[in-house]
Amino acid sequence: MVDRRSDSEDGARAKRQKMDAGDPKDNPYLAHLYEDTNGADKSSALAKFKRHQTTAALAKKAEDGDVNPFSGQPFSTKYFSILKSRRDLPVHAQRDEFLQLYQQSQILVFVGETGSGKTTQIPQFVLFDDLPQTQRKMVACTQPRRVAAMSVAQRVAEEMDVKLGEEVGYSIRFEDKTSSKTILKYMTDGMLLREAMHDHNLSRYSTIMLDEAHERTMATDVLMGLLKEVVQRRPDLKIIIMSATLDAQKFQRYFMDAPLLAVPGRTHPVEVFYTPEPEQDYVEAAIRTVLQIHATEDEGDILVFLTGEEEIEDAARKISMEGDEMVREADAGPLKVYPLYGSLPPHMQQRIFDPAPPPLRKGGRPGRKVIISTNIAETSLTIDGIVYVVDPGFSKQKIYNPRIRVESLLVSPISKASAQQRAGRAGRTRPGKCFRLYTEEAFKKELIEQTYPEILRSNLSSTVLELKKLGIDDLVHFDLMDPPAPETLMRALEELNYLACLDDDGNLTQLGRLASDFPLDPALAVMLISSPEFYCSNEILSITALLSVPQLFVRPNSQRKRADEMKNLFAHQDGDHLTMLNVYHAFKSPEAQANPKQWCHDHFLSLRSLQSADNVRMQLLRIMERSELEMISTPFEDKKYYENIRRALCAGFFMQVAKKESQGKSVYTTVKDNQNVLLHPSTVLAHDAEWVLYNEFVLTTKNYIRTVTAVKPEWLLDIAPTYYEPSSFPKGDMQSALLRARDRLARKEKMRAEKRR
Amino acid sequence: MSNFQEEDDEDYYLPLQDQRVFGAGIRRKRVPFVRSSEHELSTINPARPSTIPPGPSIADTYLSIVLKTKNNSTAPSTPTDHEVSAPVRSTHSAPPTSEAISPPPPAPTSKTQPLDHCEICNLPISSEPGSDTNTDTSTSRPHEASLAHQVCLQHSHPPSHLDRTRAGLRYLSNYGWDPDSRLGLGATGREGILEPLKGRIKRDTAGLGTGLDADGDRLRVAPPPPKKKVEKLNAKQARKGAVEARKRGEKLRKMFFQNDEVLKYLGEDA
Repeated sequence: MVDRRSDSEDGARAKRQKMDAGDPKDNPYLAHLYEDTNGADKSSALAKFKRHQTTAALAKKAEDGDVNPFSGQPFSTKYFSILKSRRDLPVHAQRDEFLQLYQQSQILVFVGETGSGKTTQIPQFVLFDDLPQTQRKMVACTQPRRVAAMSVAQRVAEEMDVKLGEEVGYSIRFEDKTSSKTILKYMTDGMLLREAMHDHNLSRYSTIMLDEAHERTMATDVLMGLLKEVVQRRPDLKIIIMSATLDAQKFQRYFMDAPLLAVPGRTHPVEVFYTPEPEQDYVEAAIRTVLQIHATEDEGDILVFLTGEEEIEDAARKISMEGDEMVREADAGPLKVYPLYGSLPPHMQQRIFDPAPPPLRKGGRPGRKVIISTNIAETSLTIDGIVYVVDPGFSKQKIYNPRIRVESLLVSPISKASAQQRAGRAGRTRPGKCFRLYTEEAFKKELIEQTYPEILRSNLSSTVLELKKLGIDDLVHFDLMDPPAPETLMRALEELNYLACLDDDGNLTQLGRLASDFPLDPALAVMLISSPEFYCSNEILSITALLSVPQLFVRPNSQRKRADEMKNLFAHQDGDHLTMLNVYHAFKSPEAQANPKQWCHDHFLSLRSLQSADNVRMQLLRIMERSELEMISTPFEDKKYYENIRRALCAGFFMQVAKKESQGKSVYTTVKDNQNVLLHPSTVLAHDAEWVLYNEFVLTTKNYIRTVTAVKPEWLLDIAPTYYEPSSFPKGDMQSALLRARDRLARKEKMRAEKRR
Repeated sequence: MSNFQEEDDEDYYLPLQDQRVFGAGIRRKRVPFVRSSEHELSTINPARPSTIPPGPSIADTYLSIVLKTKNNSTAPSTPTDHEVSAPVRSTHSAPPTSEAISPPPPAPTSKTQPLDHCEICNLPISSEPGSDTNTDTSTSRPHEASLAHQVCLQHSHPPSHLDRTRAGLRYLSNYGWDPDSRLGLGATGREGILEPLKGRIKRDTAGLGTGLDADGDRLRVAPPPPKKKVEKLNAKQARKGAVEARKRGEKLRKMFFQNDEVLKYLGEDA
């Protein structure tokens, strides 16, 4: 049964994994010796199953047996209790229908509303029919988010009564929990894309499911384009596109009119209300609406959507103050307010699942909890007990402007689809109400139909690099569901060219090939790869890891001054990158490691960020070692220790440099794009540096550059001579400064040459 | 030479607010031009030169050349055939010319078969027999000048504003993307957006429907502030007001007309 190709590929996969010593039957190299017994010996329940000809009844029998057909172990009692609840899920009723469509066609579009059980059940349905273990292949199910991939894999492992990491595993960036036994793998869509870079036909998989396709993440979009090509090369590969919304026809059309199966979710009706007039201030209106609901509506929790951390914290404070007053004055029930946003520490995020507060006294009015959230509560998190939703109609959305090369988060009106999704959150447990803080006319006229997919709103340089690595050169005709604007793509190609990842003809260079091995932004990857030339790869590796994790410095509102004092302990006068490095070195010192939690708390640092930076660093180190990049440091006593690091930063970030304006204090102008920017107030840069390199351009009411380090124009000319060719700049301040720097450089060179003589 | 001119023209880009709908220009510029061709009724008829005994002017020679090539190119009439449309772009008067002339092919046939349909707008051409009799009115309103026909015409567009020297553009054109085609990237028939999405910074917390609409226009103007009571000023106040107004004027002048370089040269007080 096993064909040669899959056999050898399986061997390649095993190479990267540690072998469990013991049973040679598990050794994929020896798989051909056991062809006959393949699958049959350990899975008697599946012995009679014919691939792609099974029915729901057959699978049910196997599920009800005493022995787990996949692991060969007897089922636990817990398994049967879970099985019972699984059979109540809406998808279960349509198992036969699903199997028929799945068997008939190569691509299937599956629509299941939230609560239908599609993410956990469909992959298991597939396992019983696809029998990947007999092919020595796997079934993959992608998720847009790391957390979802992990938690769903955990849940499904429980449902199948196997250990997580064995038959069911997951793979996310910087963490792989699979083994040679794995037949069902949950993974982020980005991980599957990375695998495709090394295996263009995705030959390890017999079925690939793209879950939450309606979210249209960048990786899912690219994967869909890729899979459209792969299915033609691999007729044995099956694809299931899973979406939660009804725009599934778009997916159907895109996939050559693939059949569609829709399963109703388990939702209750939601009554929608609009305001008769537009609101002058949506935050205030939201606060008033919450209090109004609390005063007049029946029991049930409230979910409010606002845009950002500051706005949410502010509203939470105001609501709980007003709520307390209502308790005192009007004998209202107690009100508990929880903010929820991405940068909130996990234990604070967990609090949203606390039950609503009980009545203050027996027979008193019931308590209520209010969750004020960014749009992460729109799709990623499901909170039961929500009956009322307050929707002002805004969210923060990423947008990329290729003309000034800035990716920014802007408060923008949501889409109609998004508004419907928000309203749906009110009907999870019982009929609910959704209060929209805008007019019905505004809903109809001002909201776009669908939120723009990520690929239209992002910098494409890492995507282009990935596509080139995937062997896709014709970016013009690559069949994406929503192709990006030509200008955005042009910008990405040019950036990669400046970074020397692509040559002048647009072909992938050696450096580009190497850079695509790193799960990083191309600029960061290039910086990392070139760091050995500057004798500081250890330090640059740490900085790269620190730049890949959320904010290190904690600055609670109540203790801002103290937090700033603590930050100054680590400050390096030449900038924030070096300050972050100091933090990391201090964190790794024995005194901090003795009690890292206390140490971080004392120094106002985020332990979680530092730990994950540590983890990222370890993973990147492994890739660097595999790529045979040298790990070296300049001795700390050397006076060039910090200078070398700053030079190495230039090697990746020379396109993110700003120069101080000659007149006008502390105003900088970005190189080439000529945007006026200010240093972010959080910077520790002590002196007025004429040239600074920045990690991030923050577009808010003012333009800020964040995480900056002072650099010298000589370095820039030395490291990126084409980009900084003075003649390519318009006449002016910037050009003359560069010319001066070039003269200085030439003079120094001359002096050095004379000395040598 | 012509190459140079073309390049020059491609860089030429009118800011959006100054661009007019192409049809608007066509109607004004075009109508007299069409009329003249309709007057003879047989512009493209090879017999025409014989009907006009006086030696053809340079304009006529030019026209006949343009017409010939145009006749060939209208047959495929695909927006993608770049070579044909390239010369059209090079001069400004050319696009109306080409479109003005392109319809005539059916015109001569319409003379013989009054119930013929125009290829472009699918409308009958001068189907009324009466139009033949009162030729004066038909010359003033030829079929090609009718609104229905104009709307159906394929318009040439101003070239894309993209800088032709960019490396990224070179890559895309190598794979067959034409910046002037007005088509985005992607598989044929499913092309994507042409311009990158634009974001707008929201600086206030005004609710949805109060702020700006998609084009950046104010949707709902806030109610005008209550009128101030008219006050009588005494002499001192009036003087003060006059001084302030002068200062403000000075400041504005400075803001608009001051030149940094001149200032550097003359010193701050100049």
